[in-house]
Amino acid sequence: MVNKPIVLSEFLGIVREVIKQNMPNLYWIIAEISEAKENQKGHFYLTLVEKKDDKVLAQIKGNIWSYEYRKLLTKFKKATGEGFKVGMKVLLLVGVDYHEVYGMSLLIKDVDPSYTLGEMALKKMEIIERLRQEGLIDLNKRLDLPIVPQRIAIISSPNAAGYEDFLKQLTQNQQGYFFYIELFPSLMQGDETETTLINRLNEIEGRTEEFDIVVIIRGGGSTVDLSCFDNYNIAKRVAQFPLPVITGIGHEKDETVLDIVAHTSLKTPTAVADFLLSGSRSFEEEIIKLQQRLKTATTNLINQNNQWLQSISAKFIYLSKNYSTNRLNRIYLIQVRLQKSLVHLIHLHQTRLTNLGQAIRLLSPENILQRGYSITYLNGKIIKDISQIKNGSMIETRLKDASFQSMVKIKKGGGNKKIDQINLFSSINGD
Amino acid sequence: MTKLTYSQALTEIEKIVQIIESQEVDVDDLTDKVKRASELIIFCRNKLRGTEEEINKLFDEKGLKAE
Repeated sequence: MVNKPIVLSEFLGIVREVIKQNMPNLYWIIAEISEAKENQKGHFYLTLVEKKDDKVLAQIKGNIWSYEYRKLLTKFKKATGEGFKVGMKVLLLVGVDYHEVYGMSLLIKDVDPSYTLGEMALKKMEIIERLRQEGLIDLNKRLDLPIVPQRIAIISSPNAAGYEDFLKQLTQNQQGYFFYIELFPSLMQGDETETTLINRLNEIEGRTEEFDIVVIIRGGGSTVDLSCFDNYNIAKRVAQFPLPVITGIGHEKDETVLDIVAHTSLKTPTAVADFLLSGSRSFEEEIIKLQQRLKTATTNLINQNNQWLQSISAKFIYLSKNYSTNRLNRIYLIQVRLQKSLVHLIHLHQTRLTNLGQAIRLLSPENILQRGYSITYLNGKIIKDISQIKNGSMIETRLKDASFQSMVKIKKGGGNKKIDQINLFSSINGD
Repeated sequence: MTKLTYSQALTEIEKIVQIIESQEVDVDDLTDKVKRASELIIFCRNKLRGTEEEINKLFDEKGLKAE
């Protein structure tokens, strides 16, 4: 059966009618997005494919009109946290549309995000499993965090609110802790995140000596595109990084693969800043504790030495006192003995003196006079020798109770002087 | 000349405190030990506040640079 010739538009019009009549319903289909683009009017155009081992089995264009796109995007983002992205597997409610100029395409009426969510989770699990098998999953975690992370390489979008929060929190701390912070600006969402982020990490690795840690942050909006952090290449790079990596990428749901491989993963940039501050703070607290211990220990040691000194000196004083006392006792005893000896000696001498006194008294001239003797004086001197006197000398004779004077008259004859006469009274001195 | 790190400083301070606490220190060395520990404490607390360079200068002048 051959028809008579018809023009192309008429022919394609028949095609359109056939499709319309035979496929009037909507169909749920599963496909992968291979291209996606929003135009200026807000219509969303995409290319859907089915692949097997990177070989395309089927391919078709699709579009969502602007009034529907906004509604579907909101629904999709709410569930998955992201927009329609290349590489994503989606479950779509579609109708077939045929246009004589533009050809066959699918009109997308609805989307079931739970399918994509499941796919994403599956993909993420695969990445995690691969990292685990390759021994990368806790590689960065095994690095020692410096006691005080103070030199920080930070990867962030420079305009992100989260970066501002981080800087403010870290630099305006009350304790006045200092941090050296250097920004390595990077895209933090979208398809180019992988490339720029890895480039920044490479830059930092070239200057490893200058930093203590790497911080990866992004400002948390309410709905954020985090799928770029469920990326094998980024995860591998972070896992193998020579410095500890701390993340604060502002997620509210599950951890991303980046968080899993990071040394420490925190919810927000502010939390990262607090974490870093706590490092400085707890170090300083430890130092202060040691300072207290040092003070106490030193004081104790000095006190003990003082006590020892005191007890030693007390002992010394006691011993010297004891020694002195002994000496004093000995001296006292000697003194007593000396005194006794002296008294004895004095007594002895006194007795002797008394005896002598008695002897002297017995022998004294008075005593002799008492016994009837007399003594003769010349000029107050006792006459013991006859040569002392001359003719005419006045002599005095003392008796027991009186004295008298006489003149000497020498008798001539012979060589010897002889008292011729001595009896010449002159006066009598009564005693 | 190596730079004194936080952990080196901490280790040294801890060691000195332990020695003094265990009273294994000579009274003659006590002053030096306490002085060294105090300097390290000041060094750390200043380093936390970014005045490290000044402190390093001080340590250099005094010939106290830690090896």
